[in-house]
Amino acid sequence: MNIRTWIIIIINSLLFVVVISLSTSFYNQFEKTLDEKILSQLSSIERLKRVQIEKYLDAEWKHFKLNESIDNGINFDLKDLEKLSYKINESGIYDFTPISKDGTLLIGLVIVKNNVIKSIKTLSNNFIQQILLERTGMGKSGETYLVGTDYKLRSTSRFFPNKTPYSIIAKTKSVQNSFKNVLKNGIYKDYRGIPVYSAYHNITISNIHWSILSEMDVDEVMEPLQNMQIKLLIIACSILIIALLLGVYFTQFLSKPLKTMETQLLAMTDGNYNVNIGEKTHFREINDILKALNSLKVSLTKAISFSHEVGEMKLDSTYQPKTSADVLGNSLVKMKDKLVEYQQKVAQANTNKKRILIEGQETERKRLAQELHDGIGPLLTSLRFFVENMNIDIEEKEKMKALIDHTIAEIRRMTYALMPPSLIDFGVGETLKTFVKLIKNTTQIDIDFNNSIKDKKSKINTNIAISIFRISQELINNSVKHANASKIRISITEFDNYLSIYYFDDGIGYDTETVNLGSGIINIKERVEILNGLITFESEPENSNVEIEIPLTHE
Amino acid sequence: MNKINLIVADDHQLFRDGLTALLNKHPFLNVLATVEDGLELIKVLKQGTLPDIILLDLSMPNMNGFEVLKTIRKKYATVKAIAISMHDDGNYIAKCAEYGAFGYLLKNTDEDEVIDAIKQVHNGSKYYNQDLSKKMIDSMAEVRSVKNLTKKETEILDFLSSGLTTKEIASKLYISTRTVETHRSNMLKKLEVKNTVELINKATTLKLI
Repeated sequence: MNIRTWIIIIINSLLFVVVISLSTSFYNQFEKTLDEKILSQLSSIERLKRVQIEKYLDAEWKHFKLNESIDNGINFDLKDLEKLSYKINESGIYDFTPISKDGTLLIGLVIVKNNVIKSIKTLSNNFIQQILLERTGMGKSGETYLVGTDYKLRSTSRFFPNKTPYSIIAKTKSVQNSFKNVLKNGIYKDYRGIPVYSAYHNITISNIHWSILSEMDVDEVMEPLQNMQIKLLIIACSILIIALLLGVYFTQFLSKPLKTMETQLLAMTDGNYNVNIGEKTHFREINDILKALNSLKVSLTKAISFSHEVGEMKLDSTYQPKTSADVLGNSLVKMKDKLVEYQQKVAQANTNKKRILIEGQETERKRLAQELHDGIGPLLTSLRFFVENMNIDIEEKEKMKALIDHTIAEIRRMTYALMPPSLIDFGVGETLKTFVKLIKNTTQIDIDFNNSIKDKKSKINTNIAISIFRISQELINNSVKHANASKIRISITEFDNYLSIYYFDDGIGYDTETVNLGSGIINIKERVEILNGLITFESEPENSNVEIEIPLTHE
Repeated sequence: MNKINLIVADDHQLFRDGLTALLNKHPFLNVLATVEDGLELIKVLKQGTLPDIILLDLSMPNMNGFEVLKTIRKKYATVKAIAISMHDDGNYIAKCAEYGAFGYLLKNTDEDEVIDAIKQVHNGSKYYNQDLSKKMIDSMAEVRSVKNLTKKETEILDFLSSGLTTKEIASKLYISTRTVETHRSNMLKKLEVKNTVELINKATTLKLI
């Protein structure tokens, strides 16, 4: 389940519970209060009317006692008194309704003396009915009525005004309770069979036993409550819908950056670190995560670009691991260091290989030169003596001698090409001087060699001497053969700790970038390299120069 | 006429024999001994066998011709040495002249020239044929112009005193600026001065420029 749904469900369920319980308890509280209020109001109405009725009857009784007489205005037969379910044995107030002609309430005031009715008066229902009809505070359906012990209505029903009260039976729970003297106001069904709020009490005045009830229809009372119920339901639903919408709206602020973050992390997992992180959100925690993610990205990107450079053997690039716990960074740096070390070793090995190769080559040349010069040379001269001593034709002898001389000259030339003997015996300065002279004599080139090599205590050993000679030879050859130079200057200067060679020609020049291509130049570079020296080329037409420095560390 | 006494010194027996045979054809020449290296030669000389002329090979084991020349000049001044070598390089010729050789012959020189050289040297002259003389002169070491300073240093000093910058001097002398700088600092050391102005003053005082 995704966070968004989860949050929405949680929030809305909580809200639902709260709204429902609030509404329910509010409703219940309201209902209870309403019940209480209605019942207490009904109860007070009932009490008021009861007191009014009692007062009225009491007043009538007192008045009657003062003016004892047989009222002629009684509208029933005295004989009918016999029909009553009780006997009139004493003075008092009686309920004559059962014998009322029109079935309405009829109250009889009777004074009995010596078991004989002395005086009798009936009261019509008018006044009592008036008291009962007074319905202030009882709404549309409220009424107060009287019921006799025979469960028949004594007062006119509000709902059946044309019906004789005495003909309406009201054997309801409240009436029964009232007669049993159980006072428990509440909701009961009335004589119509409709649930009503009912407040009741029994009235006992002299010989009258009634029950007085003040009642109001539940439906009427409940009407606002039901309205409220609907309103509450609408409010609850609105709240839930609003909460849902707000939830959806606000959770996107949370879920969107998370979703974006997920996409970016996935991209990074796939190896694409070129993602754009760093959008600000409304949440500090997410911002912190974004910041951390960004710094992760930055350091990974750095590490990647570093490893990329290392991969391309750009070993001069640097990387600063974040901490000692930056395993990736530290490994990369270690890898680079190892590569550098390896490269240096390879370079060292390469240089060594070249040195061994060149030195071996030179040794071999030297050996060959000596073989030729000191081995074949003397043999040829001996042969020449031999020929000279022969007694043969002079012309023949001269021919043979010329042939031998030619061979000897060839041997000398080869010897020189292989390794000038003077290089070993007199050093590079003298040898080069001779070589330069040779060039001067055989070409039209203005060539000059400035020899500033130390006469005594020179630190130039045979290896260096051979290299210097070969380098100079190569440079001169290039100038003569390719550069079309007319002026060459060579200067070799020996200092205490280094040797400087400066070479100049006024030839056509060459491209210092592609200068490597000539194999002669490669040889020069290699020779300088194996002597740990430095070489620089500068060239423009009519002004090309080469500068070489070779350290003289050894004795 | 007294015979000219000779010793032939060469490490190749065939050559020694050939040369000896050639020399012995001439009645006025007498080969006293043949030796195969410098040490043996010195031994022979020590024993009192002193020739007029030694025909001396330069490249020999144990003790080469140059060392022999030095010893002879020092100890046996009456003995004249003629170098006879395969080397036609001027350096060898010049060195021999420097060490007091009376002549220089290439090993494939004609018999007549060898005999001529022996005769001339025996008569007190030196023998270097035209070809070799030229080669020798080409190879002669230049004479140092100033005692204390090298030629290059003096040149640089001259330029410095006429107000040229290091770069200008470098391009004039076809050397690198670093070389000029090194020369300059070497001169400062040699003349025990601290800067170029002092250097020029001191050099003027010493009449170096």
